[in-house]
Amino acid sequence: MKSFTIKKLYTLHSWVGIVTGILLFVIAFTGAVSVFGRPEIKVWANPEVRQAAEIKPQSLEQLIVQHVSDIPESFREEINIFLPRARTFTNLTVVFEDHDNGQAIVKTFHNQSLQLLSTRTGSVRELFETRETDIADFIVDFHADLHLGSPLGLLLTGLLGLTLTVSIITGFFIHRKKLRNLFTFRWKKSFDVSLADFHKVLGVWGLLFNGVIAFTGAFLGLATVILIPAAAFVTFNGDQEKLVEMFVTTPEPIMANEFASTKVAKPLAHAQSYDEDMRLELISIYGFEDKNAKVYISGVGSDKVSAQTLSYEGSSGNFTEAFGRFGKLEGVSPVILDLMFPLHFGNFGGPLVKLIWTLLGLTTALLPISGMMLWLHRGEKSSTSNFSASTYSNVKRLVIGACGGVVFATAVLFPAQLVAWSTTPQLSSSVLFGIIFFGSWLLSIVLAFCIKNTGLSSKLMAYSTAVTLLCVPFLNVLTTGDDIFSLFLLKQWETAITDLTLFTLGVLIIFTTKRVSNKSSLEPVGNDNSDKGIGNA
Amino acid sequence: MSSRRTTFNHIKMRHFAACLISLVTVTVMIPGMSTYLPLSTPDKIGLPIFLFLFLWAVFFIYSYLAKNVWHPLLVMSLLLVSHLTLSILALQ
Repeated sequence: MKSFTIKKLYTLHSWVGIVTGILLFVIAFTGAVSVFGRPEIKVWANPEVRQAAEIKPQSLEQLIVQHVSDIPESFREEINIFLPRARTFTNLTVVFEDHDNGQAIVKTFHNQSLQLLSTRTGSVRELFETRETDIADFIVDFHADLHLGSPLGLLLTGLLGLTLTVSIITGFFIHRKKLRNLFTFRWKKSFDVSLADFHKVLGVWGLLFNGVIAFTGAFLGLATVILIPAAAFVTFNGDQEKLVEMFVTTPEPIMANEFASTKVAKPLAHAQSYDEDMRLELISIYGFEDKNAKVYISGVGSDKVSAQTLSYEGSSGNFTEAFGRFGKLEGVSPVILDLMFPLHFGNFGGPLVKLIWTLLGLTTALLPISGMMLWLHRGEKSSTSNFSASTYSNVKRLVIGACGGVVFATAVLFPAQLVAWSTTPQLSSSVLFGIIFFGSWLLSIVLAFCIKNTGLSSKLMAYSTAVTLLCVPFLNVLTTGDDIFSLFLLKQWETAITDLTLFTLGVLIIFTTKRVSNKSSLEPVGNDNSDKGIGNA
Repeated sequence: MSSRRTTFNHIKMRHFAACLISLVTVTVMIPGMSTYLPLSTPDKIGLPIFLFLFLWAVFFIYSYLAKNVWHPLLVMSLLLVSHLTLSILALQ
């Protein structure tokens, strides 16, 4: 490839990185945390459901029959039973939907005693939006749309997936010769050489993962905003609902209008033994107490990568078939769609895969930040740069404040959750977490601009984050009475491992910050500039 | 970024082509492609959606790499007009 083309690609790579770098870090970092958002952080955040409770199929069937008799017949069209500690809801939640009027009744039950805790009525969207949230919901939603909602938030995160693709392609061509130096990381050399190697090693090793995340992220962000409306424009004359219906593989049955009791216990008992690795999330019943009723039970984490749906005849409870979410449709697209979600969320192979996804997600976050630090470092030292020293200094402060700040703000959410749980604050949880998260983030940015020494502000932010994380297990003991040792003894794995991970991360941040600041203070005045790249050549 | 003046000519036009025209072109291509792809209905809808990301990246990079800024503009305009026409014809 001609050197002039490489120069163009390098410039393009730099521009895309500088314009989108901070936002990409924010999205990638919160994405890495979100991998363990549901159910692990969700269970940790709700002490009343930390102890796992297995719901007996027979008890669940009795519960549904009992409550169905209390509600109008129109609400029996679709019943969705969200199993506890699985995804969105911590307690067993049953949603009765009336399709004709767009209304729903949501009943929440205690996981152990199955006592009714609350009943809410309203439109499905309204009920979902006004549900009680915790830090798991807050972080996952922030990762999805930056809390800007649709279309702006989704458009932004979707476009970031597109720009990440451009960065991957341009980066690949710029550093294609470095592919053979997969293990070259000269960490004993000067700061900018180590940083350059770090950036390239991260880019090369994470190439496939970053490509997958960029593709799936762009799809998930842009699907409802651009892709589905555009696709429905011709094929369905703009009717997006019809397009979505075509991809739905769990169709509602045609009612026989003939009474037959609907079995829930038999399908659930079958699903629980169908695949031990599969985590059941949702039971959907269509046409309750109709002869043609259908029961679908879906879950994730089975031997198949994609989420699986098990189908049953409602009146007999007999198992009919198992399929992926889109697996019954013909063609390649349903296969890609089925893989899209697990490959983005990393929820297909248990905690180990989730851990790998989190670590890889953190490398995706470190890529833009290491690239920006390189650009700043080289720009500050270059005598031919177009920008003034103060511009580089301000950008550096913004990077430290915004990127370090979002890490700090995320860490602060953990103690905030414990305090909110134990004190019953006046504000709704989502507003409270919003104030704490965005307040801490803004404070970090302001501090980064107020403290003249950028090294000092970085250290301050790193130590603040570390101290916050180190406090969490102790605060957990104070507010809930759960300490790490008893959590392990009680087999409350999600809570125990979350506490231990946060504590370990706190220690690691202190250790790494000390190592980096020692290295920076020992840096010789005349740095090794042998690896400055094309941009400054 | 001292290279900015020498590396790319007509930089504003290139930004315009890369950021806006490419996005509009690939969006219009989604319904347009579904009119002529000889595939099953799910694939007719799905594949243009999945190609969206790659086509946008190609057009974006091409907008900057092309020697003459009019080349990517011409290519994208042709694709845009042809796919828009196909979509309108299919609707009629």
